[in-house]
Amino acid sequence: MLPEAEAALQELIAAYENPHSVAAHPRRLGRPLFGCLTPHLPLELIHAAGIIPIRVQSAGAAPLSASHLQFYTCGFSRVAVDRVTGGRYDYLEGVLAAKTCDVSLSLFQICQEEHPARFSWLVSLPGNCDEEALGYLAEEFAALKSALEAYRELVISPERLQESISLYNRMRTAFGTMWRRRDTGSLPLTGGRLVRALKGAQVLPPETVVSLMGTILEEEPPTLFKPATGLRVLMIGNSYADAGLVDIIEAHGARVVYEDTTAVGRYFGDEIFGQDKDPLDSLAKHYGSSVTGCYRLEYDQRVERIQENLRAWNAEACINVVQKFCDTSLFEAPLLEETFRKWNLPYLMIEVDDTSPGLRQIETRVQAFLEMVGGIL
Amino acid sequence: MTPSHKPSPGVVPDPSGPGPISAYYRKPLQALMNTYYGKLASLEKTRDTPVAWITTMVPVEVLTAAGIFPFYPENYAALCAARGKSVNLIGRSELSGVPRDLCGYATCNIGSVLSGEWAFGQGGVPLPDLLIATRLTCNIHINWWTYLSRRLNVPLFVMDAPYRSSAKYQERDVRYFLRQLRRLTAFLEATTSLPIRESRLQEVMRLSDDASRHWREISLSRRHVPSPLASKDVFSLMFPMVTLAGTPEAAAFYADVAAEVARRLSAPTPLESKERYRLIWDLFPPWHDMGVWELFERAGVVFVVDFYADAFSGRLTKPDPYLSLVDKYLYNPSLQRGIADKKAAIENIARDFQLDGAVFMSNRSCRYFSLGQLDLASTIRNRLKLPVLYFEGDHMDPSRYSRNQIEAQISAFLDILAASKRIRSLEKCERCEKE
Repeated sequence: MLPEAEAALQELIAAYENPHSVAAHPRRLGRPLFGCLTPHLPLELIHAAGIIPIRVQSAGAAPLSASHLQFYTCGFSRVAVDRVTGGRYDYLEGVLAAKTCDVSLSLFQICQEEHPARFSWLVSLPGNCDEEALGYLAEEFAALKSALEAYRELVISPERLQESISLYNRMRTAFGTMWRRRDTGSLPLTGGRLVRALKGAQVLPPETVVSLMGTILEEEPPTLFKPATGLRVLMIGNSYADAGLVDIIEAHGARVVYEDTTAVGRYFGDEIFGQDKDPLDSLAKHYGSSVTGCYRLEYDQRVERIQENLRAWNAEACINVVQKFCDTSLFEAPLLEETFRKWNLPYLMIEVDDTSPGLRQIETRVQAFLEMVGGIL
Repeated sequence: MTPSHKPSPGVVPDPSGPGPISAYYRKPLQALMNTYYGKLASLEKTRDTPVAWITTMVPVEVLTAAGIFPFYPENYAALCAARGKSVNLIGRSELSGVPRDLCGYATCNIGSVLSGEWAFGQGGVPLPDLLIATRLTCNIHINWWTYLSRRLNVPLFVMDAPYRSSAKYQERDVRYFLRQLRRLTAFLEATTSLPIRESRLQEVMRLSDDASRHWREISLSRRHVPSPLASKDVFSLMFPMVTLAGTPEAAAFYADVAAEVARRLSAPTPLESKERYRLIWDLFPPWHDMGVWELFERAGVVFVVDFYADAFSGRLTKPDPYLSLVDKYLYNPSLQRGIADKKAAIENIARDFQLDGAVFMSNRSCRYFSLGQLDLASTIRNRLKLPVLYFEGDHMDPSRYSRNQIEAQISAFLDILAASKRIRSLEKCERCEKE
């Protein structure tokens, strides 16, 4: 990788390693920071209001959460409650969430009660993904737009919103290009470094991310190295904070060819096509149906999406990462297992816990799985 | 025997004496249950009426009006637990890959579906012709019903719902929910070919509302000191409220119970009661160990407030039946309330019901209702200065419920409760003397 590209990549990875550095980021330009507790929030709309939306997610012990959430609640929420109530995110002027699951509601309410931000907003995310539900979500986004306009004392014109959509789209296109170039061998990058960079992108101003991505992808170097070999693995699932998980998978001879979890791939999703008259409708379609997961999709739709990714990335195995105590993912697990068995495709579900830093036990399971699959293939 | 009011036709209470309300009504309640489970068993054989398996908070009135037989797997799972069956059924479910960490109602029901073993042995429950779930309560309903739909190859309808804490619903929320109700109606008519006549729907809703109205009278009677209802009464009496909503039998039953409660309260002689402490119980009872309440009862504890049973008694009073359903289901105060609302409400509840403390069973297999308990418990302890018992357990799975540990915790709590009450009454005396 060229030195400038490596430096740009390092900047993204540094943001993953210290997500709070955004508070003092030079490209912040005095703009307020709003924390997103869940996916499904219209980042473009928030950005168009002159705000930088950043994702709230980290790993580690969460002692302060024990006063609010039981140990059998997902680790992601416990860490978020710990960090927000402990003041680690005090630089956030606003906090937003969407009703993705039962725990997300409590997470939002606890943050609102215990450590209120100046602006807080809960999007009533419909559970269904049909046209009616998307129409309702567009109305929800319109209400958020009005609230943001009132808060910031400005008007979010359709042009302004469209500009933000274009900016985020450039980011999304760049993410896709990075995965593809890595796959063809023109981007010498481990899966772990790529995932770290993409996670870093969630906590930086989007202009910075686009510029850094541009530097990384500016010049396609000749293929000076062989594309990584190994079992081609598709990662699916929900949230996980520690990108070390990807290192573990790749350390045992596999290659993560694509990552489609809510932690990374589905946070931004694919490009938004702004063919709708009202950009809010485009946002509703994107955040209401294309970036969603097992907590909202009908099982057939979910399987179809997995199948598309398996095909697109020519994956030979699938690893499903589930945050411990996530009801919806756990319930989906036996169905997925059956589906993969039917497809005769190796599949492994691993449970992670963001409050517990050790990945050793998981490593043993991953290693055993990959050795077994290696033996079969 | 204390003379009682004239019972409604079909409701013949225990002639041996008043006693606790649930004991007094044991026979009529048993008769209602026998009829229901008998019908359920016969449907398994005859299949002459479409059977819908529904989650709680599906507007059952619409199904009843259509002539569809509603079956609540959750309610039935509680019966399985009470009959000591849940642990094996949950184990059966786990064997098939459904993790034990999930809701015990779900894992117990799936265990039954996979093994054919139900509360009274093999069979006795008809498999569904259709499955209906709603997002008004927990997410797990949707996953559970999806699992059943795929496993049993049965059509599924998911009724979506908006969410607002403080029930501050917007016009768009109501519009969306109304459309969901209309879609439910269309789905039922299309899958069963049974028409839903508005006159019949109105009649069913009137009956459902009658039962709700009486239930509320019964529930609110617990404000009286001493409470006319014993701890277990509410959970014993709620079967018709859930399972038979919209039927004349349920309406007549609750009319009778409400009248009996009123009679007891207005009797010239004070109520016989061993009540010493008035507490909140949150939330589900441990269905596999209802005996644990005897530990409380022996110490004179009466649970006068719970947040569960009232969830089923929403009123249906608008002329437009669909707007009434919005009132009952969308604006249900027991469901869609945030932590702040619960904390705010608890102060009024503590005053109105003259509470002495609270007991929370943190339910390992129900994240939806356990979330927020810690904040509520801390409000009661710190703001209201009332003692709180908070223990871990599971409403369905005895293997995740340590009776010994819980007994020790209850014993310590009862000592604290007694001391707290003494202190509060001394403080009250001091205040009176000063005045």
